[in-house]
Amino acid sequence: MKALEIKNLVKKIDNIKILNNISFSVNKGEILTIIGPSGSGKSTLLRCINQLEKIDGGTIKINSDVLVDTNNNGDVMYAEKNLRTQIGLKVGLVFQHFNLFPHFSVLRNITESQVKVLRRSRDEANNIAIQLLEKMDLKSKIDAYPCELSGGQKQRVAIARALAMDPEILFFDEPTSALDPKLKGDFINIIKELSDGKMTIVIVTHEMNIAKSISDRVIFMEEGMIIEEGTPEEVFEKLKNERTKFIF
Amino acid sequence: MNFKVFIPAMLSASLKTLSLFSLTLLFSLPLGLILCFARMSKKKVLNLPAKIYILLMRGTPLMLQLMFIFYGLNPIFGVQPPRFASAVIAFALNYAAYFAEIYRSGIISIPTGQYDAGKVLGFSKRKTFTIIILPQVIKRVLPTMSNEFMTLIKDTSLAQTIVIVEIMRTTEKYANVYVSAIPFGVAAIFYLVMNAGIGKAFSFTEKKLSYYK
Ligand SMILES: Nc1ncnc2c1ncn2[C@@H]1O[C@H](COP(=O)(O)OP(=O)(O)OP(=O)(O)O)[C@@H](O)[C@H]1O
Ligand SMILES: [Mg+2]
Repeated sequence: MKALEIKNLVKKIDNIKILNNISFSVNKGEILTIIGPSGSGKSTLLRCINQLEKIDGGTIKINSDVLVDTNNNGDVMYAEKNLRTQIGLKVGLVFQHFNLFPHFSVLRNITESQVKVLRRSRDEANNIAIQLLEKMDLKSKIDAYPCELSGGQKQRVAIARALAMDPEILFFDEPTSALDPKLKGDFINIIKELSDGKMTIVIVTHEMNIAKSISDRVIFMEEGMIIEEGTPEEVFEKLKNERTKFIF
Repeated sequence: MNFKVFIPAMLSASLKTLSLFSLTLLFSLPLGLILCFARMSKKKVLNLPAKIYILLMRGTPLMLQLMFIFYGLNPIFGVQPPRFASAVIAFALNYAAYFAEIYRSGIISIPTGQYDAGKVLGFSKRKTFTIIILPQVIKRVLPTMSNEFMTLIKDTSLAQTIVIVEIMRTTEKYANVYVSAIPFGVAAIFYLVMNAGIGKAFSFTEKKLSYYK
């Protein structure tokens, strides 16, 4: 079963193709990492899938729901608004800079969308948040504000906030860029735990080690195109041979 | 100098000043937000009129606007509008333009990541604005707003030009009657007390909202 299917995705900014004919799919329960040099379009790809950007061509299917399709005339057709919102709720995104809500406590960061979007009761939302915070080892920070948290703690709140919405696929943009080695280890453990729970995960990263240690499959992007795709071993072997100039 | 006459007159004048101040805020604060939305709209039919309006209001003297509304509208509609209502209308229309720009500066200072986070979590545009953006905007514009509120207290003295008996008009009258400078000093104290109160209220609110950065 495919959790995500992308065909011939094109994204232009100022008429330049930032993403050029991207096609790939992610199976349910799989961990996919996307690597590639700065400016290759990794973040833009995540933003397109999460509906933060509109695409200029191609197809995005999430869980067999068509978010956007393009016909033979090149007309890009998005699903109607309700379905778009539905599809949006099936994907979660943990931003590179977390984008926590600074005016809300940790608890409220995790509950607000449950209450206002999913219409859960405050009690139910609180219970879910508390469980997630326990899982993230953050129970003691429940009443703290984001400005009082370290980078690693902010990240775990951001993960909990995304998980509280019960997404089927969770996307991470550069999750380890601001973490020290110990926190990187913690992050890998969280991902493994989520993956054991059958979560489908897509991670954009610069770090080979992360890609190697957790992913089922790796995609290498350059200049808006997918250059290599395969198991971590396959992709890194090819990169070593063909792209010695490329330094992570 | 007869303080028994002068002070009660000043107190009742202060009431006029304060009611002009409050009514102006009551109308101009929401009006400014609407104007701000129009100004920030991508649609030219909305943002162009808003831009022109803001330019007119900020680019011409409030006293001129006040006189235009009170005296200038008379020949058009054939009736003299009530003095106090004219002042409230003129002040509210004028301050709304400033508030619109203050709101706008607050809104554009919020990182786009906040909108992205709202969108990804499924908040509608409206909910993203009211739940996530607006509270942060309010915190950010408080210092500028406190300036503006204090300026408004002082600007109310312009209302004397259409014969509203507020603090300055009362002060001048008694300064003439008693041929004394004391009323000016008293007036200064009245304005200072009001603005000190405003300053206090704002620093209290700022402190209340200082639990986050
Ligand atoms: N809003 C924008 N306006 C213009 N160009 C943009 C915009 N957003 C992204 N780009 C361009 O799109 C390209 C891809 O950007 P993107 O952020 O997706 O790269 P990335 O692979 O995530 O890079 P990094 O590893 O540095 O995060 C870059 O060349 C960037 O300059
Ligand atoms: Mg990026």
